[in-house]
Amino acid sequence: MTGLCESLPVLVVPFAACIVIASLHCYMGLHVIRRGVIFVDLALAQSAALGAAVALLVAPLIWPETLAPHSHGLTNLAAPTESQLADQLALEEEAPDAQTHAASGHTEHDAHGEGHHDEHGRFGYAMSLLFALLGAVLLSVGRFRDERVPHEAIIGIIFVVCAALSVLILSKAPHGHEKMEAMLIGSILFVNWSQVGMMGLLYLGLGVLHIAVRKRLTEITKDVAAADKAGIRVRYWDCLFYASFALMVTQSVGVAGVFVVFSFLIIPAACALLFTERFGSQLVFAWVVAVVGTVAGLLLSAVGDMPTGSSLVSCFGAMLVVCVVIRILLGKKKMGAT
Amino acid sequence: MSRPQTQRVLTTVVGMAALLTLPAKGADKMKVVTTTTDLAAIARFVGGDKAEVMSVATGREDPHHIAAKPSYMMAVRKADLWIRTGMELEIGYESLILDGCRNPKIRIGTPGHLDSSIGVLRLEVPTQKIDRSMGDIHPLGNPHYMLDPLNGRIVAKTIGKKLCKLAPGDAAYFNQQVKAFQRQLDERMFGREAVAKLGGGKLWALLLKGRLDGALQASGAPPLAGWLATMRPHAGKKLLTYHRNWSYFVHRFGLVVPTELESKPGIPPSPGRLTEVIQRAKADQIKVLLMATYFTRKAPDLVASQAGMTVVECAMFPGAQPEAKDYFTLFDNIVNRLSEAFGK
Repeated sequence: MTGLCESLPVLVVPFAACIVIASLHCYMGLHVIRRGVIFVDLALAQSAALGAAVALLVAPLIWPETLAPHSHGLTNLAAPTESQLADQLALEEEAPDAQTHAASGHTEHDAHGEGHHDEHGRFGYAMSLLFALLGAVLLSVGRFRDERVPHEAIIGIIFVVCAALSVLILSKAPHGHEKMEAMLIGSILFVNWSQVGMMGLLYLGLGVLHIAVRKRLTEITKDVAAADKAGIRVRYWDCLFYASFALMVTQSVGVAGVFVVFSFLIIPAACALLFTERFGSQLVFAWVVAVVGTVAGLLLSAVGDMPTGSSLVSCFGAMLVVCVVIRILLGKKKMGAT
Repeated sequence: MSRPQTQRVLTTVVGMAALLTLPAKGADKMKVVTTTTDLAAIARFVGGDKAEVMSVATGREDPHHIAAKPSYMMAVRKADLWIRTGMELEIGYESLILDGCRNPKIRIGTPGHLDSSIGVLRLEVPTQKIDRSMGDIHPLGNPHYMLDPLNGRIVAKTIGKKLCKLAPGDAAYFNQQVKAFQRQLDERMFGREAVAKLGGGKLWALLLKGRLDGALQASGAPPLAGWLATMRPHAGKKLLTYHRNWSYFVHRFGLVVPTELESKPGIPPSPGRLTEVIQRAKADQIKVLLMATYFTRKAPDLVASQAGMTVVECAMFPGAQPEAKDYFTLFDNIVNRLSEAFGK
């Protein structure tokens, strides 16, 4: 247990990040499941990842990271030549402590293009957002009125093609496959308070927007055909829905990775749908499941010393299994009673 | 005394005895966290029983990327000294960890932060402007310098100096440990007899200046043993590598690497590149393909089967293979595997 107590301070910020993610994702998840567009999350997350990959390749062309290796005076001191070393070593037996090479413990500054890190970071985020929004537009436009091609097919195609394009692009970038993996697994352990704050503010704004338009969205979610007949411009509201979804997902995938975000979106909502019919109680139930899953996942990561993102996903999965079992047992009880 | 009173006294006595027998919480041991396992192995030796050392890497992964785990976030929080390989090997994750753990003692520029690349022999230092289109080129040179035993020797001294600075009371102990490490390394490199006759420092100086054989003969020719002796017969032989991470070992032991499988560092080889490499291997009669354990074997196996080569998977860090347990056995392992492959 001492290991756990020591872990807790490290896990506070990831916990806060998970709570912020859960707040909006559980709500969106309910819509997504009822609409039957589960993979829209993966499609938009992958579009965002594609944007990030493109940015990775393009940014050095716009802001070239030209690195001048000899621009800082420490280089000569820090890097002796072979013959200099040979001279020092030859003296070793005679005067063991008389060596003059610079081992002063002074850390030389990284020569990496410090000036351009910020631009690259902002550019990467902007590109992810742009691509995610493009994906959102494609998704809303791609909904055929008579469902000639099922909406889910379009979503799946967007997901796979974006994924393949990302791989192609990253194959040209150094250590690209590690970056791919990082996008999938995420790095929630390293999240900092400012990221949590930014995400919280954005989600607050999106939440207010969704409260304002909840009637329309719920109508469309419940029955698309009926809403269409009633004259509601489905495509327009879809675009709004998917655009806000894209905004939400670009933020969270950057922090937690695609798998964790998918789990937060779908699993608590799925658990809630097993037990209640009313939207309000579903949302509360989903939030509870998300919090329990978060606590379990972080505990598992701390106690087992395992990667945090994957621990979270595993625990969320376990939550679903538990809920299904409870549901079956409850169902049996009801039948037993009648 | 009444029963309750006796009980109380007993509890107090037992309690105090327990407190007294608690091990002094290692308050004197310095807490050292390194990035890679080779640095940890050296720090463990030099620090001896006055330091607790752990590494963020396991040795089995690609050193450019580390999977985040809670345990080392905590260890880094409490660390007194952070040691990195430097030359931007850890640039992908170091600032994330150091910022995330909020330990002011080990920030860059503080006495608790050590870049062990100070004073090592560097190879492949770029002399012109570089950018990302050239692949993953490190602007300060090839960062895999620990694969030259000479650099390990220098790093031991650097770490020793730092430990002395942080704990001046134990300076004599650390200096003694550094000397012991260097002696063991020298004996493994040149053999016990040569070191006894000429001294480790001198042997290295002679090796660097190319005057080793002459001096050995002049002083009565004690036989060379160890890594140098084993690799000597293979000097000048050619081998291929997957990534450009073996440069230092190759340089120290006189091997030749005409090309790598990767067309640019860090970028997996395309089919066209593989064909090119296969042709080169056949033309130059190259028989050995050396790769670190953290790469996938698919491309190397393909190239080797087409060009009639043996794939040699070697641990680049202690912990990547069971034979490579510390800095010395790391080299024992590489030397054994390579000489076996060449011998065929």
